[in-house]
Amino acid sequence: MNKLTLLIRYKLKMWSNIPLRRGRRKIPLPFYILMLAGVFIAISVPLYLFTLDLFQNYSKIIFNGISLADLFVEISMIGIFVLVLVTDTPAIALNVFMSEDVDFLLSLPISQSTIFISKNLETIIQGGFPALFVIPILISYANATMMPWYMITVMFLMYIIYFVIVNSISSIIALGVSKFASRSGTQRFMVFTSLIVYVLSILLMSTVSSLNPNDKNITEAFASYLSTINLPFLPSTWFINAIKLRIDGLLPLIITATILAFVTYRISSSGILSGYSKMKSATKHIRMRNYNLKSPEQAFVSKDLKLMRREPSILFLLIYPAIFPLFLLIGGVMGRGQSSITHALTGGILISIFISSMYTVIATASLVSIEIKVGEFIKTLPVGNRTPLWSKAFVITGAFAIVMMVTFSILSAFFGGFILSVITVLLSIPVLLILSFFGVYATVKWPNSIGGVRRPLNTTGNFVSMGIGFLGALIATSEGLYFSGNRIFPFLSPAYQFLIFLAGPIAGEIIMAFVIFELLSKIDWANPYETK
Amino acid sequence: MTQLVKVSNLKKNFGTFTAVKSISFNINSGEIYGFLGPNGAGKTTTIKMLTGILVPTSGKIEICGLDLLTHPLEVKSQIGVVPDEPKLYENLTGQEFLEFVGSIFLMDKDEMKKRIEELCDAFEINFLEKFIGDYSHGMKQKLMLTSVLMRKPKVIFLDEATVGLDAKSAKILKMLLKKYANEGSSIFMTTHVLEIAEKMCDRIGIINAGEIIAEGTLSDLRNESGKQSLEDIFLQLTGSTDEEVKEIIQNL
Repeated sequence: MNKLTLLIRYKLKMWSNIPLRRGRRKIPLPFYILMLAGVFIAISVPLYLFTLDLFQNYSKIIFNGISLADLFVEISMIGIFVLVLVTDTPAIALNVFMSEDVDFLLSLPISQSTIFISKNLETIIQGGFPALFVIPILISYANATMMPWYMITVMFLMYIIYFVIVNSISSIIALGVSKFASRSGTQRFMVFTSLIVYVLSILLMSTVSSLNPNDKNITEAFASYLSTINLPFLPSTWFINAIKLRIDGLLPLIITATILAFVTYRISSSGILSGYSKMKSATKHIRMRNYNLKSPEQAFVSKDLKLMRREPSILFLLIYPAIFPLFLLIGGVMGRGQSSITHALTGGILISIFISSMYTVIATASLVSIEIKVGEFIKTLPVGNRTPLWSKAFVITGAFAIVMMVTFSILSAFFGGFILSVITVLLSIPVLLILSFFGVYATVKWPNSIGGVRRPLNTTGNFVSMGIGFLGALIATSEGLYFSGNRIFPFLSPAYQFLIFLAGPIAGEIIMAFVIFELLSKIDWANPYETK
Repeated sequence: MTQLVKVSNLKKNFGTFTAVKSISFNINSGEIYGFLGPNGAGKTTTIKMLTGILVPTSGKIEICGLDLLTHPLEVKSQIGVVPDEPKLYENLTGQEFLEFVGSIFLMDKDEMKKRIEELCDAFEINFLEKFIGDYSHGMKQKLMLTSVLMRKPKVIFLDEATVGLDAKSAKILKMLLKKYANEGSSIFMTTHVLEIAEKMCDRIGIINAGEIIAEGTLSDLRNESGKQSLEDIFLQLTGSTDEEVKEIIQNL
């Protein structure tokens, strides 16, 4: 136990040392905890209030002996089960079986089970934050159903036991994953699953919040649909039964958690960590490979496209402009009216452009930071210092433009508005390109030396980039707004509309391009990444 | 004999610290030049300046008859660099990386394919379809060597290139470098393994505290120092005698 405490203490120490490595003052651990608590409260309070209202209405609708409120808790538990399973499994595989420091830890006189538990706890601390958001849901459920204090205590105990089940299953699957998957493959799998969970959870929330509890037909249909998930072998059903102190919930939940935790512990003590090999034996030499050669410029673009496609953090940024119009459209469809759908579509297009503009800077910075990591290799190639950077700006601009075009084309196939989509995307491309170039400048000017691809800019860089990104987003959205026919100020004459929403933003675009290219020309391109 | 590398009065300052103090040397065509020195002596800084990674504070570097400062791209297209720690694109496969390098150097597709297959056979590379992020240090080093040797550059710079290689690959590399030198290439290599320098290098330069303190063939160095092994010569020149080392060991 002492060694476990020691491992965790040093891990926490390493985390709190991160600001020191960034050249800032060390932040004490209690401050971090307070900060996280602040974030938790800021999200939990509105969530509590929202679900309290929901549960008060849903608890009155009973279907097959189960209230809609119970079913809502069950679906939340299934949601958290899937969320933790798909995000924690690859995270545990990466953190426990593929972590670089495991080799070092194995050389120390520490038992494998201690290493396993400490690495597992690290994963829970890092990735288990979403599981906390079930707490306000459970509190509002308890409040709405007027649970006594001892039952609330049991409910939280059961939630911990439920979490043990999920974590044990994740650990066992992670062990299997680590036996056949590579590190990079696992990382990509993690992004893929996270994306699916992210999209599904937002779609689910969007659907649930659009329901009107006073509309009996909808809620009853919903209850009928949800009753299919109230199956006796699901841990979520055990959970809902257990918090009502029913033996058919308490027993299976506790017994399953105990068995799974024991199995996981036994596996972790049996030498699995030392049995893992980071690189599986390579396949037989494959002869007759086909090599695809291009011009140097094309080679850079092709390489940057591959790196972008395979970098999870950039993929995340690229997916946002595609997802957000969907949410608005769901709202529009729920509103059930042609004008509602048209407004949602226009809003979706404009929001997509706004988000693309905001994220272009940071996506370019992330791609440039990959080059910074490789650094010296690129300087030994017979290409100009600017070529690798320019190619990134074009690749990111192209990627966002393609994402928007594809999204809008699909949406307009169903809801119309194709011409508006094409005009707004074409108008936003110059802004995106200018912002991409600013991303190049920002990475060179304000690099975060230890942030990696996920956090390529330091604090100043992040603030300035957000400001410039916002300005670019305003310009791109104003132009789109002008052509969409929507008027924020309907009392303005067409001439003023033209000046404010088109001529002004285009002038702003030209000024922004001029300033950014001026800034770029001042960079020492012989050593663009050399920190002073 | 053609001098493929000419370095005169090369100097590099980092703020007030001078890492390399006005060094000069030449490397002939077909010559393997060993650049030795203790840790922090200025070896890596020198190699970085010779390969265009670092800009010198002063001095002149001429490679293949071209000034590196005024013709950096022309020079880079004729040299190959193998760094001590290969940092590569982790999200590219080995094959994609070789395609990228081949494209940048405008290689002939068939020639490149043939050279890669020969080198893959020699270094037992059978992992080109895997992502570089999953490679060990040795695998990365082999990939980096392949990306350089497939081009048969006129001048090859190697910084501790045998580190991470297994015995067979290290032996093949040494023989390949000898072969390339016989075909007219110039090789500039740094190493801490003095046996390698002793066996392979035609001439050796020893750098200490940013200054070249000895240069010549192994027999020149032996004659000057009166010592036989390169290890003894190196320790004597860098200020660490055999007795001093023994005393340190005794005190431990």
